[in-house]
Amino acid sequence: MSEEKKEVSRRGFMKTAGAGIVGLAVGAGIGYGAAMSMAPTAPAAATVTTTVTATPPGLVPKKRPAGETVLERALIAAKNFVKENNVPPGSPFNVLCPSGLVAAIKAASTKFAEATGVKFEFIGVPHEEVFTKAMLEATQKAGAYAALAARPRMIGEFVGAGLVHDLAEYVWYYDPRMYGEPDGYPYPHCYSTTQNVGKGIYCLPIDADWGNHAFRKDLLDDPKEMDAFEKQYGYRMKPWMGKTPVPQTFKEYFDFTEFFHRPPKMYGNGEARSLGNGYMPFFLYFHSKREPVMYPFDDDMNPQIATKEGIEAIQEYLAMKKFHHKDQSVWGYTEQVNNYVKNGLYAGGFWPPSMSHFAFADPASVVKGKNITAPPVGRPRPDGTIFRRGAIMGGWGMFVCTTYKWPELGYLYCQAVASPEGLIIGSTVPGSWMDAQRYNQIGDRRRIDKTFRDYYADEESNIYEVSRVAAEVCPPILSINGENEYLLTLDKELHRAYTGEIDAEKAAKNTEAKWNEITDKIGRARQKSDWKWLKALYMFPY
Amino acid sequence: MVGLKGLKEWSNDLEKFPVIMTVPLNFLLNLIALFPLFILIYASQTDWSPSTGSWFKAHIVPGHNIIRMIGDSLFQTAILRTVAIVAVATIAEFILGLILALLFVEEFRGRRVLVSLFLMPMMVIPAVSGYMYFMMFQGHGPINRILSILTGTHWDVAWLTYPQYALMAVILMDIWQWTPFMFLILLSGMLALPPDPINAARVLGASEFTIFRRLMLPMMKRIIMIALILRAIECFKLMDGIYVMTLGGPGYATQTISMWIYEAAFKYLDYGYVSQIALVIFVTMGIISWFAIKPLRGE
Repeated sequence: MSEEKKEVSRRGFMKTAGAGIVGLAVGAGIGYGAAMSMAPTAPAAATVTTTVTATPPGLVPKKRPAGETVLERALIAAKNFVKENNVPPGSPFNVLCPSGLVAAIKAASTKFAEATGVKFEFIGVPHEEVFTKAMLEATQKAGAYAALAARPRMIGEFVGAGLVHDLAEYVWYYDPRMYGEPDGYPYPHCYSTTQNVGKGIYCLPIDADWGNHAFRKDLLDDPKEMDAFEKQYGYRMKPWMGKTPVPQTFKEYFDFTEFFHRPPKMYGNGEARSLGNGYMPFFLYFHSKREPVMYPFDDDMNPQIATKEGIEAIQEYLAMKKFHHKDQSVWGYTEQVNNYVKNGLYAGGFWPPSMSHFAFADPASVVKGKNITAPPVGRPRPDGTIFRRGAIMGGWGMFVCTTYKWPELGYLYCQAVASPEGLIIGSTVPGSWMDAQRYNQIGDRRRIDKTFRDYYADEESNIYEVSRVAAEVCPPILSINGENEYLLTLDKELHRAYTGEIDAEKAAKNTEAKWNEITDKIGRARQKSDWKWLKALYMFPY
Repeated sequence: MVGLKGLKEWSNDLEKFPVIMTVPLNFLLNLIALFPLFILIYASQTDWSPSTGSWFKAHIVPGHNIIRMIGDSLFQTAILRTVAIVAVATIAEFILGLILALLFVEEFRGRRVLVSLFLMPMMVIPAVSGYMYFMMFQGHGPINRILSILTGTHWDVAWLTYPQYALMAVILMDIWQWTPFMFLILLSGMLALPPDPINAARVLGASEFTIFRRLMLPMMKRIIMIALILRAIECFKLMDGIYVMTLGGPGYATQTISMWIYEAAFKYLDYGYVSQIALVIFVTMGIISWFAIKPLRGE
């Protein structure tokens, strides 16, 4: 036998390995593409097991499902669904939600778990990360989640990515009490934090975050302070309800802010100006610049931010800077609240109602019982009335993922959590920062006691009325595809202007250019259509 | 039994057999590296955004993303900013690391404890160091307090609200955290130097500075290159500390290329465009690294 040693040719090895790799990689690529294109599409949302009479929102279907209340209807239907579709006990039901809402959603899910036997897992992530995690699921289609608790401002991207189901037919059939008193969502605010992209309904709201003012009541009730205020500005502020005078117009708001600006112990204003939060109070200034509402776009999706009114709104927003703490542009809500609660740092601000949760939870609060809520300030009309428009500071809603096997069951879960009964459970459980969303929540004594009582010194009727008005004058943000991108752009440019890098006009122009770019990227015709439809849903009562 | 005989003959072919036996492993290893690269190259030529559908349904737009990149001032500024951070931070870390290494190269009492202490910042999670520096640079934070004590005047600067100061704070955070890395590598290099030439130079009357400049530095050339390249590459990817500390702000003032990519990909959902950018950066970094390492290869 020859002992001749054969050298392994490097070239030969590379050729063999290379050919194999390229062949398999190309094969895998083609196979994956083919598999994806041939994969069964997610079950259509309209798979309601009972005959559905498609009716427009708000109208009662001819044949109602069993159950008197919204929660009952969800639980009975879910129980039947599980039976009819042989859903095995212990089937996983994963819910992606912000960490701060886990306690609330978990508590509101208990009855649903008992009725269906599904096994819940709540995946809590920092609230800034919900969008990223959800969009990764949209890309991967891994079936990681049955339902999402996400910000409604993400809805446009979710729908565009095919991540969430259109729930319209379920809504019409199972009637989750969409709007109106005594226990529906406030109209038209509900559309701001919910559901609509085009003609579809994609989520049920569970947390509102309409902005309202909080002022230092102890200062406003002090006759010496008010006399000095009158001496300086030549008028006295009037109460909105009850006895305490509060700022009601922008002029009064600016005067109040200036008057009580007494650094370093107290700053006049505590509106958010940090990255990621700063755009929210901006809409307080912006929406009220034109009647019935100043929208970010006109009917043709032309940005209105760089119009005369838009630039003025930015200038007003920036003018508050001199009454802010110097670190305002880097403080998130946590730092703000800590400084307010522990040091009484602000005389007033425009905040989401959840600010009070933090203040309530802190036993060391120096501002407990020293605050009064007030509706968004406005601009006086010639007839003496005040034109008010509020702003959405966030909000959360329940979505059903398209990758979940039983979309109807997913919907029924969302209905159970978002029901008037479910939301009371969620918003009163310890550790919850779920804000009121439905009328019955706004007026619920248990919720008021938990959320407001130790914090605000309002009369109860004031709390209810402030919440109601703040909700009802809240225009939509941008429930269309690209919403997150539009708002992020605005936020960045406002921040640049606030920190002095650019002026208001430049910020407006930059935002306008980027908004046009986003619209063109997604498709102007589609955006126009969705925007028009969304705007058509809004009617302002006053 | 032709098949079995054939297989036996085939397996006796010493040229082919070892090669074929390694193919599965090579395939797997290369697949891990190459398949994402193929996808990246493909995606970079599309307008893919998950908000408008799946990647294989995205429109192919050859060259569009490159043209967009050339005209994208935010991207260009992010690159320039990152290069500036890398240059300043890496040089500062090198100089400080070298000084520390020189101080610690000789044995002295408590040296081990001090070395461990100096290495500690490197072990802190970058997000945690980001939060530490966020707190330190607050208007009422310790930096202002220390400056007030040192200068005898009241310092009240909201550092992170000014673009230039915020950038400086970010660079300081990186220097604080990664100087120990330079120190560690350079100290190891110094301790590994052959003592004979250094001792000989001392006997011949060379000054310590001359020894350092003429002997130690040339002998450490390779390790210095490696330390600088590693640190520059790592610094180029700087993100987590900044994310916690400034979120890239105020405005875009501290947005590095990693922050920019994160935002463009996961906030603006511009997957196609970001793939193009990632590809360009990958190729550019590859070329730079190749040239940077080239002198080492010749020796």
